[in-house]
Amino acid sequence: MSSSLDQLSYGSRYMSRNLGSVYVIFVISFVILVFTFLFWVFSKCCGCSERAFKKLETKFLWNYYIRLVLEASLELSFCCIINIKYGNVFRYPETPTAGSVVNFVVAVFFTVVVLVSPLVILIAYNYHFLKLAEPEFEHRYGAAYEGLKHLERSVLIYPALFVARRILFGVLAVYCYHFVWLQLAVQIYCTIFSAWYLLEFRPFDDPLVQKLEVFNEVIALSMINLLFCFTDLIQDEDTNYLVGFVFIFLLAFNICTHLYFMFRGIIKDVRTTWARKKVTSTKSGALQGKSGPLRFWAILVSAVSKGEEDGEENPGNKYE
Amino acid sequence: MTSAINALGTGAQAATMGALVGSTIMNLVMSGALAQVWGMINGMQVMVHLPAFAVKFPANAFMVVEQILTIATFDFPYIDVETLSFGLFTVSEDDSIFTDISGAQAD
Repeated sequence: MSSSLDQLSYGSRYMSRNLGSVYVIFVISFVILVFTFLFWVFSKCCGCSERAFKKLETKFLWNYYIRLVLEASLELSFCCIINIKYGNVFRYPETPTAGSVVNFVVAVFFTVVVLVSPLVILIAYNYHFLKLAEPEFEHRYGAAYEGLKHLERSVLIYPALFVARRILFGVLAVYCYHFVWLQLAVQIYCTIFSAWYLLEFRPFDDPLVQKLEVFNEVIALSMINLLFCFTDLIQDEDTNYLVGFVFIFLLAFNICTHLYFMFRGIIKDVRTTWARKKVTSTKSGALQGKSGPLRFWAILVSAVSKGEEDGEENPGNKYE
Repeated sequence: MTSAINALGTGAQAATMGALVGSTIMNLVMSGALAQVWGMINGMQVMVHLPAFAVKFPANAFMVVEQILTIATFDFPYIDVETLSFGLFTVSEDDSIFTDISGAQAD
């Protein structure tokens, strides 16, 4: 086993240490789920705490959990595989600690969740395909297809592929450690397949997001190809160092491109809302007698409250 | 040179973190879509995990990757279950994957 996993903060046998902050987020999320369940039971039994249940249900069930598993799927894959391979409590010669038992149980649970999730996404969402565009369904389960087109079944492959690719990444990194050619080849084919899928089916609603996803794949493919220079093919350390700078450049280029388009979009949104609210506020006389910072504040508050109203009127809006 | 790369990595981490948090808050306030934010994080996740493969990754690239990794994996300093539980939740001290549970060196 190489020290690279250790340097990437996967050096422990235990999930809680490898996951770090994400483990805390999972614990908090589990507590919220327990409270939601308790409030639901109380609301059914004695009619109390219905308001609290509704609030938690609206905020957390189930989009929050779906998004959490999707975003943490790569880390979960790494940590579960490592915990099951190296931290198996049944292989302990002496009595294991409570913490290691909890870690092992959590690892087994998340292994099942991560392994099953691509299938669940494909089967369950396909079964309820006609409901995907309904705001209520979207507000509850829309995280898996956020930003994707609702009217095509082919888009359901994207989230399934997303998780499956991350599981494969974890398996390759931990179990195929002595087969660098296999690791690189599988990653290259996965990236090419992903890019082909994106270009062929164009699953994203927003053309900009679609282009950025393809851009991501192109940069990832270039970076994976650079990894060949870090194998025994090139022994010269100076060359490795130089290629390292190319790697940094590609990573920085990717981040800067994303940030540029993100900020451009935000500035555009703010300017549009600002202009709209300025006209509305001037007409309604809300800005009368206000100048300088007060005028700015009045427009900002009305713009934010308009945003909240939009969200309440159409809860599924932000997942479109 | 090493300190320059380290500073570059730290700067990139701070800038990316600030920009991501800022844009997420703005998107939430304006009821905008977060697809772009997720797209960026998802792309970064794959890229920063590439050193996990069995290659001799150069130190200069690793310094930058290490900084970006904390953002891509949502890992914040001092926020871990052992610190927050005040030592109630602990696992064994020797938890390295390099040594097997029985004490032998793992492969």
